[in-house]
Amino acid sequence: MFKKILIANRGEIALRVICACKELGIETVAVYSEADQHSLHVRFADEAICIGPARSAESYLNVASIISAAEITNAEAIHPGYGFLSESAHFADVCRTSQITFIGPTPEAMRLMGDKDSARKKMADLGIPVLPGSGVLQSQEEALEAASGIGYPVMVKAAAGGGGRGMRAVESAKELPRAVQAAQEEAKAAFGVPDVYLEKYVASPRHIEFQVLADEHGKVVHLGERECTIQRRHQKLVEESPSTQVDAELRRETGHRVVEALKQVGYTNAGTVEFIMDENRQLYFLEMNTRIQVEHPVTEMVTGFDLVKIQIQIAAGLPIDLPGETVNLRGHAIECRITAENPETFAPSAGKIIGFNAPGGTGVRLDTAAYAEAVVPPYYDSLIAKLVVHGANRDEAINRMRRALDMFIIEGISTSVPLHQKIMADADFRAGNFDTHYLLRFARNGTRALEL
Amino acid sequence: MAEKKGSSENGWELKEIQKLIDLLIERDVAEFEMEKGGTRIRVRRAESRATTPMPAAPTIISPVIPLTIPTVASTQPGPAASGAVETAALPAAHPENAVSAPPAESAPAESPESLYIIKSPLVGTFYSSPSPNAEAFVKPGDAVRVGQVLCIIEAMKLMNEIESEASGEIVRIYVENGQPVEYGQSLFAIKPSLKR
Repeated sequence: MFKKILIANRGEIALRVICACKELGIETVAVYSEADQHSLHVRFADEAICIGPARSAESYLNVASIISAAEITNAEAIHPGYGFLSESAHFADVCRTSQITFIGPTPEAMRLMGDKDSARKKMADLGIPVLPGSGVLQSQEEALEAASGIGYPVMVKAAAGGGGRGMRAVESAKELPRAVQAAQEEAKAAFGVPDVYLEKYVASPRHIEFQVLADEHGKVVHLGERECTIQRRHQKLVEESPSTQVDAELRRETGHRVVEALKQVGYTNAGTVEFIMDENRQLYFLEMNTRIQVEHPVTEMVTGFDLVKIQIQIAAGLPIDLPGETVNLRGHAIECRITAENPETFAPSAGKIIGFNAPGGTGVRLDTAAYAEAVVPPYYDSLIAKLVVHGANRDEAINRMRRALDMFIIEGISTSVPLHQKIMADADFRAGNFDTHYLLRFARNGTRALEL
Repeated sequence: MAEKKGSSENGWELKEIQKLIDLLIERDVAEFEMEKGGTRIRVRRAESRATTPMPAAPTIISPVIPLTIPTVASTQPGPAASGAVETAALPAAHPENAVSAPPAESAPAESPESLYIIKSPLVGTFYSSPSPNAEAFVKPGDAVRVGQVLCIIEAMKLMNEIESEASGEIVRIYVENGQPVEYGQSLFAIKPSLKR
């Protein structure tokens, strides 16, 4: 087992890794930018090294500084957290050359599964349904042929970017040529490249993802699914497990196929396989995240396992001590991502927290690096806390989340707590009746939330 | 922000509270809490230098503790109270940290405005000479020019020469040969000369 681990991250996830290390008796090294001098992850690590100025590029993304910090502290392994360098195969390569263990998959696995295109091809080869799509369209004829193969409605998408630009939904062959042309013009204007491709259009998509763990001895398990459908501009706001749309049979079958595929790929450590679910509960592979995810606590609450500890144990060469291929999910867990943003305009709200009361009690977990008098810096993402609840069933979990949100006081900055309160009070959310467009409808209808 | 509980009959006279506040200011104390005669008073100063660098008592330790802040740790002024803020020194919460020099060494004894501090632009190992048996690049008392190599910082097996940003006299060297250094750590204090 490692004697000392360096955490190449900040905020709540750095603290999360420090927690796992403390419980395993492993010494910790925190790295921090000048803006994070007073952070909790610096406070609670055994050692802390300043690696650069506030800008991420010069600090948390600075490979040389981080490796150097590991060298001067004799850290044997680096946990990259999520974001920053966690999915950088280059960083994993450098760790390998510097003889520091990267706590995550191999650079090869990261390259294969981290690239959306190659991952889709690989998964399709291994029999996992992939959202039908085309390559970059070279002609109108190709567009029409591909579209009829996929089946209408189809979405025209820009190859060089996203965010809704260069995108067009098409209902029939009649509209296709004009839509492709318009999308190409828009894509050229937005991204400089007119390349577009086609993808099956799912009108009412849901986001379902499967958590996997693989050790270095060939064992691969899945820990069930999480539903992360409540999103705004592709940023998740609420996650839960299990999903109301996944029954035991679908879970077992999908999980099995995912496990078999990752065995073929030779994947190791933690990862999440993301799917889009259409209106018929059909799952299509979207992409894979080759790291621990923000919403991992949700799975921890329904399985009882500490995923970060397991990551460390896997990286140390230990076999996973989990029965069989599937794990039982117990009760229901929900997570709300609390961000430092105005809950209506979503404008970021950096500044000093002058009042802070953390909710507690039965079945409540708070992962945060925030505290009273802490300054939320403007340089990094706005996530300040993950409020996670567990209940015997989904109703209890929702009631518990409402109670916990009511008792969560953060003063001095704006947060998304009021928005989460509205979501938890909403009848559609309670009924499990939502797709990825939920928040748009929600916002449009104003305070449509029904008190129960 | 001062919270006053209880009236003058129960143990605290207004004059006592005033004297207390004066004393806190004079001694640069950040927070004070005391109970007397069944009444507890907590006084906290809004902008105190002593509260700045260390989150010596962050309030969120466990979920059920509300806003009170433990008193013991917070009455000791941190290194910032000594005048020069050493942003690169490791927080005092890590006393056994092997990496940096003790905080007292990092704060220049001379008044800060008169010295130019060369800080490390890298994380790595500090070497005072170009090679193990060679003479040190500079020693206290030496005159240096802008651009002159003062030391080497080794990072990931690469030797980086660190050049002076000021001309003047080396007054102090904060680190030792072979010592690990972090970004922003003080290396040299130079008394700038008036002419270029």
